[in-house]
Amino acid sequence: MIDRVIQKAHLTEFLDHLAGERVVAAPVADGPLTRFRRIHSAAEIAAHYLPTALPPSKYLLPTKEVLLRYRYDHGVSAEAQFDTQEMIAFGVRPCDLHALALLDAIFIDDKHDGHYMARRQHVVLVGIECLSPCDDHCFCESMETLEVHTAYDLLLTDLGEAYYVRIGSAAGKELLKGVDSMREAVYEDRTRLRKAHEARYAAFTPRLETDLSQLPDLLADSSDSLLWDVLGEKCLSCGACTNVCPTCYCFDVKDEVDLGLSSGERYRAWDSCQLEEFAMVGTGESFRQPRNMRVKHRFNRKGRYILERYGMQGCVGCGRCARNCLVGIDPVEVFNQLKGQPVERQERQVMR
Amino acid sequence: MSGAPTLMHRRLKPSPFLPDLAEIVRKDHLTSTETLYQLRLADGSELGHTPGQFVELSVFGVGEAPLSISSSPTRGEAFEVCIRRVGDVTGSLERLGLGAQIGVRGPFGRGFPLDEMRGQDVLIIAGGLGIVPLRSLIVNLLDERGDFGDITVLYGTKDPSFLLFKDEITRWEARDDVDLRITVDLAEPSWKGSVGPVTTLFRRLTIDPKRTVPVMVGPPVMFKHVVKQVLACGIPEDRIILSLERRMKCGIGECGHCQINGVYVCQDGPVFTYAELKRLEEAML
Ligand SMILES: Cc1cc2nc3c(=O)[nH]c(=O)nc-3n(C[C@H](O)[C@H](O)[C@H](O)COP(=O)(O)OP(=O)(O)OC[C@H]3O[C@@H](n4cnc5c(N)ncnc54)[C@H](O)[C@@H]3O)c2cc1C
Ligand code: SF4
Ligand code: SF4
Ligand code: FES
Repeated sequence: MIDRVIQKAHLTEFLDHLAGERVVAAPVADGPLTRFRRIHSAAEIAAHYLPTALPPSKYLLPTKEVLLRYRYDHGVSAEAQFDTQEMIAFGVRPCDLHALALLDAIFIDDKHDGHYMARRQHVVLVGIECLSPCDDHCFCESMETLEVHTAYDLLLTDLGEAYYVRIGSAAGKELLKGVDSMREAVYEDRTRLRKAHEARYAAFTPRLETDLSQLPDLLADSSDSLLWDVLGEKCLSCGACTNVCPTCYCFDVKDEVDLGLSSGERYRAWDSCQLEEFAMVGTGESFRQPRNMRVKHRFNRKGRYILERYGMQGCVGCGRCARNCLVGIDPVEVFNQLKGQPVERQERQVMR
Repeated sequence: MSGAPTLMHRRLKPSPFLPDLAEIVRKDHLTSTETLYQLRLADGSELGHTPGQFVELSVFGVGEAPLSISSSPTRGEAFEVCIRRVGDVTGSLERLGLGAQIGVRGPFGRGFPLDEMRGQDVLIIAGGLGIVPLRSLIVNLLDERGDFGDITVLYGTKDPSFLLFKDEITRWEARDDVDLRITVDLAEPSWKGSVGPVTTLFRRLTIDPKRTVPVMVGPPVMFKHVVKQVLACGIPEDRIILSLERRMKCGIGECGHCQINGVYVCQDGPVFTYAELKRLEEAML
């Protein structure tokens, strides 16, 4: 589809209009944090912001999502629940778009999960490219997620007085119909876009010391590294890292009964592999009880297991986990330390 | 072991979490803590499982639990689960009467490689509740008896009061085309049988390593010892079959609970070959 160019003032007008008519969510400043929130005018959108406290992918997999409602007074009847609220998510960053592409591959292509699909089909994603790094914690360039070609309906790039707009889907094209004043991109615009892209690589310095394609092997070979013990001693198993991660999607399934005791609901709620009960079974046996094993599991999921199963990176380099970890555990540092000091042990010992 | 994971759902549904309804048609108390339930799907259809697969069974208002299918697919449309009371779901099932409706999702997972056992000797090793999914296999083998070589069943429990399926076991013992041996960890002097861990039953057992498929289900500690034993017999690693238990919340490879390193027990298993698991640290073998 032909790219477009929109003057910033026109985009603002358009967003003001859109937010009055439809549900638009965008990054909004909230004290020191930024959050995706419903806006009613473009002025509410944060100008410069770190990745939002919670990634937009958590909107598609909310903390608590009702899967079924049922009655069991006269026989049983159960009905699946789907959220079909339409929403336009504005200002989604490339790392988060990559995370959404991963969730799409898992929940739609692989699992046909109607609950995820219903939400996803009703969300229009307007992405915005990053031209400079968010802070010292992000490492999207190293994870090859700075460039994005999937998931978005529209993708904006800041060209100074205007946005360069790429159209990713029919829904994106449809949305643009509401913009009064815009023009088709011409050769000069594309040149400016290319220059903006080239310039950003000067700003994003590679942080990962391993070639990305070697990361799965590095992790596989580091199963016995002493680093896991060091991290296991440090980690508090609070689960903050998994709560803020755009590619973490593990959940628990529970029932809740209504007050009348004749109806209720089954819902899924966030869970974390960093919590001890996560892998515990009926006999009380926990299959990943030692903390060093739990930490190792998380980093293997991020750098190896997801990639091996779904062919996409399990970590998009947003840096949220590092920004939120009370004891400063940072995935790039972990990967670099594994690379720097492949510590072998004669005998595997686990911490209890 | 060949074959992709079996079909996830009998019918494609908008929600993979929407269960089918089933009715409790029979209830037999096997021990003080275990009950055998016979269930029939409300629409009268067959579950369509293979031995070794499991279902997610739900009591509305309480929750879901993964449970092995204990009946053989050769036995018609009703199916059976054998449940030990340990908590919310398993406890509340106990309180439901005949005719009560519960939810069933599945069958899930990869079952025992039945076709690869045809023409072979099958050595079944059950520890404790491991007999529950293995009963599905044993009955299937016996119903198609001519397709298999020697069938040997080694079954170990804590003490005689924990023995499950006593009536059936008596019938199997009476047959001369199956070699059944039982042992208990602890017993009163009145117990006539063998005492000791299930590995003690390997004594005086002739195993032809070239044509024997060992299949084991039991607690983690049992696997360690039994795997060692069958490897020592010279049986290749990719012919040793085991079924594992892990915490499960979805049954479809989404929720993450059942993972063993990069492997999902609910989808890739619960039945594996030893060769598939031996390099996985979290398999704890
Ligand atoms: C593939 C598979 C097959 C199984 N087959 C059988 C069977 O044939 N018969 C049988 O009696 N049991 C079987 N189990 C174990 C059974 O799933 C658990 O006993 C049951 O989930 C406990 O649920 P609850 O609500 O009664 O207990 P809860 O009240 O939820 O908890 C009691 C205990 O059970 C543990 N637990 C909770 N949920 C699970 C879960 N999903 N998986 C494992 N442990 C859990 C908790 O850690 C806790 O220690 C099987 C488990 C798996 C994974
Ligand atoms: S946020 Fe940090 S301390 Fe908390 S579980 Fe994650 S790594 Fe451990
Ligand atoms: S692991 Fe950390 S850096 Fe990677 S995607 Fe998750 S939150 Fe972002
Ligand atoms: S039970 Fe949910 S992933 Fe296996």
